[in-house]
Amino acid sequence: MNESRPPILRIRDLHKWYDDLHILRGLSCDLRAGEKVAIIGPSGSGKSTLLRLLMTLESPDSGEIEVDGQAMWSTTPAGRTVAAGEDVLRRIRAKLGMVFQHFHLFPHLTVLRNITAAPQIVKGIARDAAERRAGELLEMVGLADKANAYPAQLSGGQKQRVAIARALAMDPSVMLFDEVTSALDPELVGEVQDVLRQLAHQAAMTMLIVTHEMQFAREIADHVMFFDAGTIVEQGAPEQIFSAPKEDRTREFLQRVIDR
Amino acid sequence: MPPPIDLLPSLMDGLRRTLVIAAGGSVLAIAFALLAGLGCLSRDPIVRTVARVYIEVFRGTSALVQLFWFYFALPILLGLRLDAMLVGVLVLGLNIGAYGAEVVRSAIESVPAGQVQAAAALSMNRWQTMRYIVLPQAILLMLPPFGNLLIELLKSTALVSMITVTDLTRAGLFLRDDTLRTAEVFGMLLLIYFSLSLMITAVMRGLERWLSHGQDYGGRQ
Amino acid sequence: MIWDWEFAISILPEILRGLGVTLLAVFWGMTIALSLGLVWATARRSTNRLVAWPVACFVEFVRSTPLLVQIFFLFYVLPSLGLTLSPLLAGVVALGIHYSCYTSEVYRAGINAVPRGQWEAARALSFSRWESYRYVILPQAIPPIIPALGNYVIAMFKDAPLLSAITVLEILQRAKIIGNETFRYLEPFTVVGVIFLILSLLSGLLLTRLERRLKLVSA
Ligand SMILES: Nc1ncnc2c1ncn2[C@@H]1O[C@H](COP(=O)(O)OP(=O)(O)O)[C@@H](O)[C@H]1O
Ligand SMILES: [Mg+2]
Repeated sequence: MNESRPPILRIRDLHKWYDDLHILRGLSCDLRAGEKVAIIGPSGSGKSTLLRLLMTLESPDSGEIEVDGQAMWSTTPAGRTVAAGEDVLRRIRAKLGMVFQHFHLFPHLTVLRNITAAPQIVKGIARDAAERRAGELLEMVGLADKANAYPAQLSGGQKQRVAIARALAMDPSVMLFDEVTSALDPELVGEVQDVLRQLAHQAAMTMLIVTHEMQFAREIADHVMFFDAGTIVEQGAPEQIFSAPKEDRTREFLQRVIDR
Repeated sequence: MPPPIDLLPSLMDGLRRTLVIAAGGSVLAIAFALLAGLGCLSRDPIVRTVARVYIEVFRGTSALVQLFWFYFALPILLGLRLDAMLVGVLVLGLNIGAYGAEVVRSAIESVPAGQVQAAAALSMNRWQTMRYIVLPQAILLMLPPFGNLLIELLKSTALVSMITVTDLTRAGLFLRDDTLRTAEVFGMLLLIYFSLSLMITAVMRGLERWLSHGQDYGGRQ
Repeated sequence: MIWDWEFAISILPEILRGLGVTLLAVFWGMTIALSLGLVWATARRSTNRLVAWPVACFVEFVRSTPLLVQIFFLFYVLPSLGLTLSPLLAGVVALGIHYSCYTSEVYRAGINAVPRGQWEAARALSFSRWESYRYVILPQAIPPIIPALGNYVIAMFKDAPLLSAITVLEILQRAKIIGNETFRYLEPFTVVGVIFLILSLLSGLLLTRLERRLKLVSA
């Protein structure tokens, strides 16, 4: 039924090199709007690189990326890979939100200002409207009482929940999560996962979640991609990937992480 | 008045000029430092080169040589005489500004890359990222080295005495000729400069404390 | 043309003679600065407050007051104490003392960067405090700070023209004399500026090289 609509994210034959390291090796995939996708795979396999390319923090060496039908990177008839204009890129980027492993909260701003900064500065939203929205988001992530705290006064789990609220304040339709619980003490992982679960209930929200928590991936995702050496080795429904992986590399990887 | 306090009134005019030059020089130095420091990080190669050349020339030649050049040589090129006070303010501003530019550049570069990425992920453009995210954090890192530079600038104001400005130092030289109380006069000069330096240090400390509440520098990566 | 090449070249020998005096002053000034700085640094780490405190105050005081006034002080005040120095000697001593208060901070940073365990190991081998410095601490503390000390050589070089204020015939003073005699200021001061620029840039390059070498060695 969704096949008639263009995918919200369309990636074709994406290549990325760092000097002579071939990090992404011809990656292709489609994401439908509202889909919750978990990306798993060994570290160094290019998961973060993919998210950073989507966020235009880096440029691909070749390949195509389309967001919601708009080309971000495309191939000319002559075979060259070119970026869309700065305007288009900015408009596309505004549809994406990203949460980082190490939070990257702005240390000089309060929690509230961390959340309202971009809506006010980038979108020109009035201060009280931005603050009202920030209040709702803080409520949602359970930190309404921390609005005036500085990041230094928060625990890791709280920082990450603020970072999620900050990204959501820009009303993205796709959220990218890059190992958002990996830098947390084990007892703080749950509170951040709870926020992600809550988000996953929103049907319209597309989520791309890089994670090392297999149990969580299985629970939250309706589609799982297994990355290795810069390509998608295997993808499918969580049940299939985790219970009956087809590829040897998937099986080996799952064996290794579950043994740990 | 008991000696050596009785020397003070005759130094007041000079002190006033020293303060004017130090204040004017500081304002110019901060402006040049920001301009050239940001210029070094510009995407435009011409802007980068201009900033680089300015920094190298003014750091690479002696402050006193610069004063002499601007006061004695430049008027020949321009065909007009420049006011000595003005030359003092301009040259000290340019000189300390060149050192300050390196402070600005390295402070900006030491704001963690994650901060810029987070801003980009929130769709901020380069200017917005610089203005709202990077500079506010970098300024804290700049304050201590800038405090030192302002003390350097204050000390350098003594050099204008050599291009005929009757600043505190030159007033002291005149006073010594008049009174022949050499040790007292120069001792008094040193004490006045020392007190002024202490004041700069105190102000910078206060500024730092005022700006740094609630910050952590510990942004990982 | 305002700029006269022939004149510029004709004054070069005289200015280079001045440069010789400047370099001589820097050489001896730095010798004093490096030795005195080490004395201040160790004194400030002394457990005896009566030693550490006055030295700390002196260092702060010298760093916070103009070199030019210090030069005048040494040159004009010492004779009244029965000690008359030639202008060059007074200038060299002033440069040396002034910069010793900067090098002392560099030494301190270097010494502080040596791990505590090294002191304890030296103590365990029953080295005296002096022997610990001489054989264990300083050999580790000094190599990493050589570039920072080198920067102060360049800084002193740029401050050396201040000696012209007490009539030392260094590079700037000779340029000034030439200017006064010929009423041509553009060439002498420009030549001096260019010489400074070239020498600073060259020594800066040399320092970066040295720094890289030292990093390779320690890595
Ligand atoms: N800026 C960079 N320069 C050079 N190599 C990089 C850079 N960023 C990442 N890499 C390399 O690319 C590979 C893939 O990185 P990444 O996408 O972060 O993997 P993952 O997130 O799957 O662990 C790693 O081997 C990493 O060392
Ligand atoms: Mg990663």
